[in-house]
Amino acid sequence: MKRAVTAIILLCLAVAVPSQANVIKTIGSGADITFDPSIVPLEHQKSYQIMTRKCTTCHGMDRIVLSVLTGKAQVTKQPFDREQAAGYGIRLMRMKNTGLKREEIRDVIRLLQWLIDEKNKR
Amino acid sequence: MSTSIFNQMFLIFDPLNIIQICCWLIAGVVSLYFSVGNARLWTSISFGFFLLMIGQSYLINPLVKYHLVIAMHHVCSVLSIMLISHGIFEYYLFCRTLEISGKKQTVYIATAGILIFFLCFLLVNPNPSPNAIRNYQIIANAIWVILCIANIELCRKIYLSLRNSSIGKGFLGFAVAFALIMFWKGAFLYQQIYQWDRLGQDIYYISGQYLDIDDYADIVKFTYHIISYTGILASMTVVGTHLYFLRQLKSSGGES
Repeated sequence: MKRAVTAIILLCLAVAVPSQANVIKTIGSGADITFDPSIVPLEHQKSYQIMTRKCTTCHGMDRIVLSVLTGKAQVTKQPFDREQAAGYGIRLMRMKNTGLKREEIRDVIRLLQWLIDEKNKR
Repeated sequence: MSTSIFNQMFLIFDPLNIIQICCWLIAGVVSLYFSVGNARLWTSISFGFFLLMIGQSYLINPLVKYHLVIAMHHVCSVLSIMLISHGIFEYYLFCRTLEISGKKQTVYIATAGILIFFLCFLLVNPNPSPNAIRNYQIIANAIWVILCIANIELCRKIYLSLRNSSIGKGFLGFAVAFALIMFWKGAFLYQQIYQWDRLGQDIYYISGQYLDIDDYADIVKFTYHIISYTGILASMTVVGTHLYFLRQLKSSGGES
């Protein structure tokens, strides 16, 4: 009996651990919600800094976080997947006075696509 | 701020593009006025040119953040050339047989019906991605090029039939407009085939793929100029031809 219980617990842990690993962690709540920087890999850390510093001059971080978590753009209510994120990037590249360079937009979009992928792995 | 409505409009702030849009707005208004105020025979042609203006106006539409709206603009563009071609073909038949059927309202209602059908089609399908929007644009440009060639030939035939009439020369004006539109849409299609169009370049850039555009910078620049100038000239020719027809039809008492 003990063995069976242990086996079930181990099985549950084996199933639960990988799925927990892919949860997009956030910190704060409401308008102050943001992605936990510790989940962002090293290659995207620079883009994460740009996102928190520059993107938030026009809109709150909550808009980005909720779009990624819900899979729906918060203003237009359009789906927010990899392709649509690229669409936002293209639109942003064509806007004037965004304060963002072309390569910065590209890198932030790649970070967003990575976050979307991570969320979808759950 | 950067997300103002003004920034949503004119996403590519190219002065030539803006001049082109303004010219097409004038052409659209003149065409609609001509379509409403003239005989049934002209409805499809003029209303088609009005729809072309709607198709082109996506660059100044603040709702372009909705990808479905851009896709609908391209659907309008396809529908416009089909309507124009239908009108030219009707006129050609009229020249040969002096037969004309249908009502103006039928053309307007059928056009609205097709647009509603495509709106439903887009609504039940996945939200168009930048790639899907580009595909719609490629299809629209390809249809424009093919039908413009057919229309030039039909305009030539109509001109030969109406050579002695006062409005015969007007069809030469339409033939010139179709030739210019063919170069305009054809150059755009050429760019799209090689991913040299702005949207294609941006899609490549965002996805981090290599694009060999630097090796062909002169060709790309040249095609941009063709697209800009032929688009402006085509809209001016459409305005001029419609005004010529208006004057001729007024002086001949509205006979088609």
